[in-house]
Amino acid sequence: MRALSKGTLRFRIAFAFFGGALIVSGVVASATYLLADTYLTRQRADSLVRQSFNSLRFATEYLARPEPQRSTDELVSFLKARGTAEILVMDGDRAVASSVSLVPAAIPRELSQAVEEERVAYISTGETPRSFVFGSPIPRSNLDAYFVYSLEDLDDTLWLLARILLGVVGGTVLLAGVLGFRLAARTIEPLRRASEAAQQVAEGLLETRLEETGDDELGTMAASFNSMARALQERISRERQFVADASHELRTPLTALKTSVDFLADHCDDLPPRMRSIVSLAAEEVRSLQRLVDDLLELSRVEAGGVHVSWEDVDLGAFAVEVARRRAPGRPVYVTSPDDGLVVRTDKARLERVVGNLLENAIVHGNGQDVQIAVEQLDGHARVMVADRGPGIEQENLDRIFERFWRADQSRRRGRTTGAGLGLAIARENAHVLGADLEVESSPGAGTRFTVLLPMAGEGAQ
Amino acid sequence: MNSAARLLVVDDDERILEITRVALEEEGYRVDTAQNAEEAMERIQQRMPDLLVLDVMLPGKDGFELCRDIRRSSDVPIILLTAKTDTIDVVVGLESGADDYVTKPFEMRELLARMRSLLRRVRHRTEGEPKVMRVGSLEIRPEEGVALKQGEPLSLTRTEFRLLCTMAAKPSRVFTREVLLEEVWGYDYFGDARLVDVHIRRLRSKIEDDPARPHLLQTVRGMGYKVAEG
Repeated sequence: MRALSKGTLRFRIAFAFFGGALIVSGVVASATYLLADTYLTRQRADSLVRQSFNSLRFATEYLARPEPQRSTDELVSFLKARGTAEILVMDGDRAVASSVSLVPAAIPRELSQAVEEERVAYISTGETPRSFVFGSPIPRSNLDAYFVYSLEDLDDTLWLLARILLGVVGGTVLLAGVLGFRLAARTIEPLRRASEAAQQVAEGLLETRLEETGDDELGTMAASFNSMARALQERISRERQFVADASHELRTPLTALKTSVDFLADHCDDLPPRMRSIVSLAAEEVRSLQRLVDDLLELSRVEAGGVHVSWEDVDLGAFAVEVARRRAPGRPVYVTSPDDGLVVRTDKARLERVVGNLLENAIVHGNGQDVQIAVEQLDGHARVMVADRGPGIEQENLDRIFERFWRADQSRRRGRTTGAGLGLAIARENAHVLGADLEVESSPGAGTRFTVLLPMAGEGAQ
Repeated sequence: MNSAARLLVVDDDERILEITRVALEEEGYRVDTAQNAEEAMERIQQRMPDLLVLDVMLPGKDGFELCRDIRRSSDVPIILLTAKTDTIDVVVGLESGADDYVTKPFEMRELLARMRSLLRRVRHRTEGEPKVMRVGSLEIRPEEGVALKQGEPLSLTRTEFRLLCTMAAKPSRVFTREVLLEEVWGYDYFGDARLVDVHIRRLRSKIEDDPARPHLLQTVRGMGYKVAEG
C-alpha cells in the first residue's frame, strides 16, 4: 500500500510537468503559427494588390495605345507575359482566361458582384490550395479583369512552420515528462528514505539517522527526524542502562547473601528443626531473586544489542534431548526429530535460552500432562515446536504473553515453579538475536504451541 | 576428599571473601584469601596454592593482569570469577591463561564442581594411556606431565596439557567441542565452547611451527578438532 501511494505521488509530479509543458508549449506554438499566418498572408496580399494595380495600369495603357483595336485575347496574353497571375477578363458575358481551368464560376460571388458595381476588390479564398483573387473594372474600357494568384508557396511555408512547431511541442513535452519523472524521483527519494528510516526505528534500530543535506525543507525534516530519533534512543538507552546498573549493583550483595543462605541450607542438619523450613524458604527466595536479577540483566543486555554470538553447527535433535534433560528433569517430555539429524548454524547457549524457557513455560502451564518438542525441516528453515496440553491462552492475550512480567492469571500468587514472567520475553529476544521467529498458537482447552523458526545458516540472517 | 588442597581466593569484597572462606573450609579445603593483586602475589611467593580463584574486578591491577603474571612462572589451575558472560570478558580471561571461569553471582556448588574437576585432573591421570605418545615432532609423557617439542620441554598449563593428552591418545579421531568439554573440563552439553576454542588457540601458539596454519592440531570444519596422525 505504501509502495503504491509513493508511486502515485511520483507519477503525479511527473504528470504535472508533462501537462504543464504540453499547455505552455501548445499555446506558444499556436500563437506563433497564427501570428506567422496573419503576418505572411497580409504581407503577401499587400504585395499582390500592388502587383495587381500594376497589371491594371499595363492593361489600361495597352488598351489606350493608338494601334488598331486589340482583341481581349491579345490583352490576356499581354498581361500573362508580364505577371505570375492567371488572368480572367470579362467582356460583358464573354470570358477570356489565361488558363482553361479558370472559368467565371471560379470567381467568388461577392468579388464579381463588387466588380460589377464598378469597385475594386480582392479576396483570399479559404480552400486549399489557397489563392488570392483581385478583381477590378479596367479603367476607360468596359472590360473587367480578375487576377488569380496561387498562394500554394505560402501554404507550403506555413505547413513547414506548423510541422516544425509540432516537433518542438512534442520534444518539449517529452523532455518535460522525462525531467519531471526524474525530478519527482529525486524529490521523492528523501521522503522514501525518511519513511524507511521511520520503519527501521519502529523495528528497534534506534541508531538509524537521515542524511542532513542542505537547509531546505527536506533538510529541516531530516534534522527534526534525527533529533527525534536521538531523543528516543537516549531515553531508551537511559532506561536500559538503569536496569543494567541496578541489576549489576544487586549482584554483589546477592552473591554474599546467596552463598550465606546456601551454606545454611546445606547445613540444615546442624540447625534446630523449627528453623530448617525457614532456611530452606529463604534459600528458595534468594534463588528466585537471583534468577530475576539474572533475567533482567540478560534482557537489558540482549535488548541493548551487540551481544556476543558464538555460531556453531548444532544438531537440533540432540540439542532438544539435552534441553529436556537439563531443564525438565524427571518430567514427561517427548522429543521427535528427523532420523538423519537436522543441523543448523546457531548459538547453542542462546537457543537453549529460547527452547529451554519455552519448555519450562510448557511444564508450568501444562497441567502436569506430557509436553512435546518436535524438530523438523520446513522449506529452508528448521522448526522447533514446543507444545503443552494445558488450558491454553485466551486469544486476546496471545499478543501479550511475550511482555515482561505478564502472567496468564494476574491474580494468581507466584508459586514455587513459576518465574517472574520474564522467560518468554527472554526467549523472544534471544530468538531475534539468532535471526529466528518465535510464534505462538493456542486453543483454549487444548493447549498451547510455540514455534521457533530458525534459518538453516544462522550467520547469513544477521 | 581433597583434604590437603590449599586454595587462594582473591576478591576485593570482604563479605564475599569471608563467606566463601567459611563455605570452602567447610568442604575441607585450606583457604587463603587476598583482597588485591599485590597481596595475592605475596601469598603465592610464600607458598604456591593448589588452585586459585580470582575475581576479575580488583582495585589496581585487575584479575586478568594478575593471571598473566602468575602464568609467567606457574601452571597452577586458575578459575576466574567474572561478572558477565556476554562480553569479551570471558575470552580475555581465558586468553590471559585461566583454566576455567564461573559467573558471578556464583552458586557455591558450581564453583566446587569446577574446582574439583581441575584438582582431579591435576592429581590423577587417566589410566590406560601409553607412557609416551608422539605427534609429529612432539613427544608427550602423560605420567611425568611433560611435553617435548624436538627435545625441548614445552611450558604448557595443566589444562593445555590435559587437552593435548586427550586428543593425542586417539590420533585422527575428531573431537567435538562437547566431547572435549566433557573429557577435559567435566562440563555437560551446554558448557561454553569458547573454553575449547581459546585453549586450542593457546595450545597451537605453543606447539605449532606456524599457529596460523596448524599441522598438528587441525580444525575439522563444522565438527571440531583432531590431532594429525603420525
